[in-house]
Amino acid sequence: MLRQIVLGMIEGIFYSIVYIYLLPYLYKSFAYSFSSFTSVPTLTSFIPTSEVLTYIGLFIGLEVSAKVLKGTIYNPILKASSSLLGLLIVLIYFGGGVLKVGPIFLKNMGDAYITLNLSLILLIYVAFIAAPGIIIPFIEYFVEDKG
Amino acid sequence: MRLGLLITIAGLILISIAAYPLYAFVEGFLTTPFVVTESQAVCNSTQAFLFNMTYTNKVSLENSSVVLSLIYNNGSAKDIILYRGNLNPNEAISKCVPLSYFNGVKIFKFEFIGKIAGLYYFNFTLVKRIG
Repeated sequence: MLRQIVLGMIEGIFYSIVYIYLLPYLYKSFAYSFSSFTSVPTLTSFIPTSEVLTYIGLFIGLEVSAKVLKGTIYNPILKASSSLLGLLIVLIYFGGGVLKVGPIFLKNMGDAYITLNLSLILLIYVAFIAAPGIIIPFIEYFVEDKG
Repeated sequence: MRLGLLITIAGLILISIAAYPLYAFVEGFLTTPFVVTESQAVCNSTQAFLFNMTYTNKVSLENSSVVLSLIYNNGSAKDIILYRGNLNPNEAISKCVPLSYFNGVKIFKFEFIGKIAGLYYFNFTLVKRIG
C-alpha cells in the first residue's frame, strides 16, 4: 500500500514537472526567441502560483488514488482524468494554438507584432499524446487486465 | 503500457517532424528578419517611393502577401499590396508607390502574411509612427 502511494506521488510529481514547468518553459522560450533583442512585458507568467499548487495537488492526488485503486474501474477513470488535466493545462497556456508576441520595440524601425498559428502541433499533441492517455487506461483495464 | 508508450513516441516523432520547418524559419528570421528598403525614384514619370525587399529565409512562405497600410491624419486608410504569391528563398520584390500617397500619413504599417512551409499561419506587422 505504502509502495503504491509513493509510486503514485512520484508519477504525480513527474506529470506536474512535465505539464506545469517543462512544456510552458519550452513554449515561453520559443515565444521569447522572437524578441531576443528585447523583453516582452506581455509574456511574464502563464499560470499564477495558487493555480500551480492546485494542479500539482490534483496530479499527485489523482495518481496516488489511481495506484491505490489498481484493478478497479476507478483506476482508468482516475488515470484518464490526470491526462485530461494535462490537456487542460496545455490548452490554457497554448491559447488555442495561437502565439502572439508584441509589441517588440525595434530601433529606427518601429513596433513589431508577430502572430503564429501553432494549431498543427497542438492537434498532433491531442491526437497522439493526450487522446491515448485518456483511452489507453480503459483498454488496459478491459482488454489487458481481463485477458 | 507498451501501446501507450509506442503511440507517445510516434507522437513525439511527428511533432519533431512537423516543428522542423518552423524551427528553420524562426532561426532564419532571427538572423535576417524581413528588411524593406525604400528610395525615391521616378516610376511611370511620377515621383514615387521604390520599395525593395529580398526574402532571405530558407523556408518558403506560401500564399503570402506583403501589404503596406497607410493611415492618414484624418483617420482614413489606404492598403497597397506590394506582393502576393509564394515567397521563395531569394525572391526579390520591388514596387513603386506614388509619393503623393504619403502626404498627411500618420502611421504606416508593413504586414507580412503567409503560411510557413504551407503549414503555419504567420503574420509579422511592423508599425511606424511619423513624428
